[in-house]
Amino acid sequence: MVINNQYLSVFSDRYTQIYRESCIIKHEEITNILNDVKSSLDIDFVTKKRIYSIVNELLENTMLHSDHSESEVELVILKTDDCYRIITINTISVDERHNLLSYSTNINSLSIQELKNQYKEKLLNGEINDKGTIGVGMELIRLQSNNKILISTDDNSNVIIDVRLDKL
Amino acid sequence: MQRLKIDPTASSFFVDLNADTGIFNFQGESRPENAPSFFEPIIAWLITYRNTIEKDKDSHHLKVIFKLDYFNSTSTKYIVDIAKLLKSIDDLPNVNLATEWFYKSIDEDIRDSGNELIDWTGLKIKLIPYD
Repeated sequence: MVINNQYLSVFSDRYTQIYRESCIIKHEEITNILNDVKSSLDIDFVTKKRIYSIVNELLENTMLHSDHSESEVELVILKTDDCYRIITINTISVDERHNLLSYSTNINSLSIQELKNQYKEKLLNGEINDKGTIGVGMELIRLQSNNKILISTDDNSNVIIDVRLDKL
Repeated sequence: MQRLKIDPTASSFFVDLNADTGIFNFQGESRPENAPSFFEPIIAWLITYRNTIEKDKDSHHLKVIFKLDYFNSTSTKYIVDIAKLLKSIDDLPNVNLATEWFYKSIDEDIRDSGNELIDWTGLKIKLIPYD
């Protein structure tokens, strides 16, 4: 997998890297990474729990949108004085990239109240989709982080999802 | 009615639905690899249970315990569905149902999820912090 240092270099002056790991996108590997995040981050309970949740939703999202069964994902967590950044990098097909960008554009365009309404509506009245999910992962990430989700792509067919979580 | 008991795994919670004792228990973490195959038997059991006790004239005193550490977004959908079903059971004239939602006292997100369940489904839930 191509590690996207170019994207991360933007943050190198102001952020400290507190976690970095890559894995094949499989449920068991996600479990390992979550256990690792839980045990290795020395931060307060509430922030760690939100990072854990965002990491899980991001990694589960990569499972849904990965371009083949042996795809890899890289997870990076950065820290500065006022926030954390949780970043995933993985390859993705052109169609899935279009779907993801379209979905996240919708999520980012909504106010927090509109987002809460959409989240509630899907949970109360939505149907489980053919991938076995309810499709509110991005809504939850934005609600938990209270920030827009940054999505970009690079020349190597990677999609980079960057979530900023402000410190409490 | 046959008891439904599911042992916990690294990514799915403990479930124990016991019609004989009237105690329904959900504990642990929920982010199963295949959410439909994990949750659908639970939903089916609760529907069958509701349909069974709806027909009899006995009184049923039920206790539901949620003690959850973490659940992902898709599990949230199923937990909402479970709460809606519990509300429909509690609405039966011969049922008295008490639901307890335990949360770590510092875990405001789990506490808030309990409050959302109350708001969204109308199920009466007692929120209980613990250290």
